[in-house]
Amino acid sequence: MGYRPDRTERGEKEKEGKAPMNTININMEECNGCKTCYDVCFVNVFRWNGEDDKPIVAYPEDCVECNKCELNCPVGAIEVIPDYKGIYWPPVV
Amino acid sequence: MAELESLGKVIPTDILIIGGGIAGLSAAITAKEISPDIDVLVVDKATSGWSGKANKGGGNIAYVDPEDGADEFMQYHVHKIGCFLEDQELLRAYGEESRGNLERLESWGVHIFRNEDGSPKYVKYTEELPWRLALIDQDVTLNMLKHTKKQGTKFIDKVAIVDLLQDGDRVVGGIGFSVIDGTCYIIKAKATILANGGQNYRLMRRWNSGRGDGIAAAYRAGAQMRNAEFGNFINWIFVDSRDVCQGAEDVLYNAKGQHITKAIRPVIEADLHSKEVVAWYKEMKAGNGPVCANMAENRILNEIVPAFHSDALAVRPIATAFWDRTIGKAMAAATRPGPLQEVIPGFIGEQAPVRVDHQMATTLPGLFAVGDTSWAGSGWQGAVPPPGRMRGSGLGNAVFSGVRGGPAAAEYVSGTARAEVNPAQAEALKERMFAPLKHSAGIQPPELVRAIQDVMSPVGNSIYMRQDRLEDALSKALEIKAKLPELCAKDWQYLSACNEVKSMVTSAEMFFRASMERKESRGWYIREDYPDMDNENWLKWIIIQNKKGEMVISTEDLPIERYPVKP
Repeated sequence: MGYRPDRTERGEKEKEGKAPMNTININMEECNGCKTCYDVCFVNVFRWNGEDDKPIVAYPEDCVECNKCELNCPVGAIEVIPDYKGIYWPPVV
Repeated sequence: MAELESLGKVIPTDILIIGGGIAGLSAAITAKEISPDIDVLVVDKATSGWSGKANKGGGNIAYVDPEDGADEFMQYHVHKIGCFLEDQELLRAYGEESRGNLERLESWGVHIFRNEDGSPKYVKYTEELPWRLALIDQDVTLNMLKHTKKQGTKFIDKVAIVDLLQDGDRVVGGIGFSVIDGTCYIIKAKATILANGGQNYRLMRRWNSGRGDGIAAAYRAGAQMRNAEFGNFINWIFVDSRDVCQGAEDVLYNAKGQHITKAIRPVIEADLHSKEVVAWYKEMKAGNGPVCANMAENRILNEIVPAFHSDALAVRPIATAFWDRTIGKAMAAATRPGPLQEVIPGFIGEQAPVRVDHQMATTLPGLFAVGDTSWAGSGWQGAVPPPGRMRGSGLGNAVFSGVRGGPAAAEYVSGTARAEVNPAQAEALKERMFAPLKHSAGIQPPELVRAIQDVMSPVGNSIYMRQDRLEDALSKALEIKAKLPELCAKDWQYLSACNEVKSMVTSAEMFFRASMERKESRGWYIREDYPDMDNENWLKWIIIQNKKGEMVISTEDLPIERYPVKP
């Protein structure tokens, strides 16, 4: 059989206490607090830190790599690094 | 009994629209066009204008041009796509209205690319198709949002509406909560429009956030469902990135180097078909995997898609950047060199079964459903899941249904009494909604999400179906259902995930029960044990309804004698 679900890899990562997920890096020095990332995310990955007027990457485990935050950040302060290997995919046969 | 105001934030409106994507905005705009003085409120779990699929899709919208002909469109569709299960009256209406809907979009601030003579610029996948794809950029919903706000429609973002409020059968609004701060929202509405998408079981990434919340809420409230068995869409996806591989269906090779779909698919068709998935399944069962797409021969991806996205045709900077970035990252993740890339059928589902009439009214008074919530339930596309082997029909249907449902809801509002919400009912729904927050231990939603994905995804369960496998899959879905009361949520984001997984289980149960009922193969729907289309016994719609907690299945004959295209 050809298709190999990456359960082993995911299982190993989880045993180490590291849930596989995308990485969303924000350069907080460049961030101008415009809140666009918070608005554009259609799965609500971000929360807002009202004190500093900066985003919080609160739920990276929910990110589905649409890249809209990265594409719409007006100062280019966001980078989405998809963890393709970590995506759980169920059996197909 | 608690006062309503003590339960949460109570907001009255004339029309509540749940979901601020292209369908919800189309409904909001057209409701205001005919009744400028009514109050319209759009509530979205994320952010209206940014949510939904239209701003992450291919930027094409299917329309039928007078040159294609509404009759030809119907003949083609009924024979080759929906296989006689269409509501042909609504199908004809799509054929006749879809080009005009492009002009409506323009009047709302959406840019449609046109030739010098004013005709829409378009693409066809193959010349024989009696419809065209007009082109738009991914700012479609943002432009519509601006227009909607100018009309005076109000918006609440980051609020998930979980259940519908009812006065008898009549729907009088919705109850939900803020995913940011947990505030309970009680919206009292004379009419409610569901526009929060279909069900994709949280599988398809990047562009799809449809978790079936609206479908499940409508089901719980007692609305009829139709065509729930046509909720099994797949896309071919790369094993390396789980991103979509368009065009794979025409270039699939097994491990022996044999082309596995040439015989069943000699020419490029309207879109992919479940029959290719069946071919893949047989190869895998025979030990001939892995199956790879030969990217060097992939005409769709190498020729048609680039032509489609060419600046020479239409400059679409937002869509182009989106595709370059997302597909670029996915392709960079390929681990295997060369043109042969391993692909699998990636289950998406796209179940969309809320039953509506030609004005998008559900079977419950005061409740309407548009877009992908009622795509299949409206019946116009027949025996296919969305997008119905008709690329661009997702956006096309969103506008088509929105411009019908919005005015119909406005009309309903003008002739109806104020909505009265029963505080005891709201209190009970609130308690159920927040229950997972009260459990300090239990099952986290991701565990059940994966469990339901494991049941839906296998091709033998959901694409190439057989009675024994369906029974087994249903019993697994019911085991998951039995665990739902144990769900616990650590915060409001996860509370929303709990509601989503409940919706997924409802969708799965509907899918398997309806599928066990339909003992034939038709269109996209393929049974291993009933391989033939059976027009004698199965020109029927399968109807599902919640009756006192029981999922009751019935069938209804199509009025085929009334329809012009007959078997």
